[in-house]
Amino acid sequence: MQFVLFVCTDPTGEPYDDASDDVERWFSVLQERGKHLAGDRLRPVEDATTVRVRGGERLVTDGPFAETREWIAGFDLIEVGDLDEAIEVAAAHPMARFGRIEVRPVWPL
Amino acid sequence: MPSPRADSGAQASVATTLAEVVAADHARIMAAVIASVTDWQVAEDAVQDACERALTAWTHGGVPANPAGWLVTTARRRGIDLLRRAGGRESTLRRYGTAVDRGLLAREPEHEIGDDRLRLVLTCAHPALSLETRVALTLRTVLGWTPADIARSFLTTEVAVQKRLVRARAKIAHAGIPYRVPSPADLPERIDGVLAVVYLVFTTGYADLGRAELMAEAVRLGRLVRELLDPAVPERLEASGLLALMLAQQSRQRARVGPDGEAVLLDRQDRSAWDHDAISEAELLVHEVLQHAAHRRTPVGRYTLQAAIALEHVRPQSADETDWGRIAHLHGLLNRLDDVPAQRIAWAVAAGRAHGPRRGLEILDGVRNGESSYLFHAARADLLEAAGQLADAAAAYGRAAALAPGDTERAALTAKQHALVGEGATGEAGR
Repeated sequence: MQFVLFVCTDPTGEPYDDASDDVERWFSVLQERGKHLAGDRLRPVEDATTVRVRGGERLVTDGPFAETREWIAGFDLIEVGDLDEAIEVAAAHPMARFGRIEVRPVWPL
Repeated sequence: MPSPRADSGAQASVATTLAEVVAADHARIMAAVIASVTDWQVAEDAVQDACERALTAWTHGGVPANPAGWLVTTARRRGIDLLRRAGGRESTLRRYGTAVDRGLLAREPEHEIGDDRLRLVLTCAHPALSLETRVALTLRTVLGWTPADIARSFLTTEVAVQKRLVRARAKIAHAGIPYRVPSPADLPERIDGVLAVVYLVFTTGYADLGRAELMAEAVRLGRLVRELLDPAVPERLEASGLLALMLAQQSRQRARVGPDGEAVLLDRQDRSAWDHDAISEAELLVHEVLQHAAHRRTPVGRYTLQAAIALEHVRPQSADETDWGRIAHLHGLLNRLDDVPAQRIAWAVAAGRAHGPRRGLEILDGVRNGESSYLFHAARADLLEAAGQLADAAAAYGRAAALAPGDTERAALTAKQHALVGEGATGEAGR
């Protein structure tokens, strides 16, 4: 089963600590097991652009759709057996401590 | 040939038998059907359908030797039918088809059900479901409550319960919630979740003047969970502790309500009306847990500590013989596990009785956000009164009365305040 982990900032997260940011190890363990399909960081919201089409008219605006203190900082596409395994992978990600991870099952067309 | 009247009589008796089988074996039946058809909604619909078929089949052909096995076999067949027919569920069948067929072939001939109840109970309480959903799903799936029963007990509508259940079953399918007993590493947390569901059902039944039926169902569920856990699993100790806690609380049910439907406080209850068998069973369970914990040198869990406290209250022959020192000690241990306001207030009250009001007030000072809680002010007022600070006590009773959630509490607190202030000092109190 495929899941996307949305890596999000969260004001209630523990303060960022460079020394305990073990994201490289998290990534290599997953890759070795062939469970990591894709993923990356995302540029911050300052670099985001929102696109809407209303009545055939294209509306392009600067920034994310809503003003928020929580945004998606990255994503990972993983292939695991079930939700329990996805939760385990998410919980091991350092951003689960500094922010939060939203686990979403992929809904294939 | 039987007359229509006899026929309807036979059907009525079959309906009773069916209801008994479903009530007694619901968890076993659902667990087995889910194991075969995988999709929880299909399993639910298939079991409903099997029950309807049973009414007709059993009325005409007699009740089978193994009624639960009959229901499982019929529901499995129906479930597979549903999976094959429903176009929208074709992908489910594609994904689970092999398992479905294997399940059917392997199990159908001997009506074998097996025991999948533990994974059923654990999945119903999966942390990816909200607590309300876990409760509703457990009551429906494990205990076989109808959505109407659930709605009545939790002050909501049948439609809302039905929606919640359908959403829950859809989430299990779509989010990839596995139907299995988790790894030993995850088991403690998951069992905590199950026990939380059991206790929530119990406390809902215990609230106000208590609903005996709801408490009894919680006890039934608690017994089942305990029975399903291997005695070697440490978490079983807390399942025993929870069962003991519920039995100890439930034992006083008959004495909690007075002749006019009013609440009777613990120290005025008729102790002969208590259920002493339940108390003995609870004593035995707590004793067993404490021995195990001492032997393994593991800390005692919160349910066991609460059970031990409840038993200290019901053990003595009269309220005067209550061992407050022991109760205060147990509350202290409980507070070390988690320091939550209501628990700390109870500790302060017990310590006040055991070691004097000063000690109680000291503990009360540590309550977080106590100012907004009527229980905090009520406890503080009692302790201040015992310490002889009557003016402060009167003010605290006033604050408690102002925050009291109901008229009964408010009236009792206002009366205490007036008794301290003296005759004629009515006025603003309690507004």
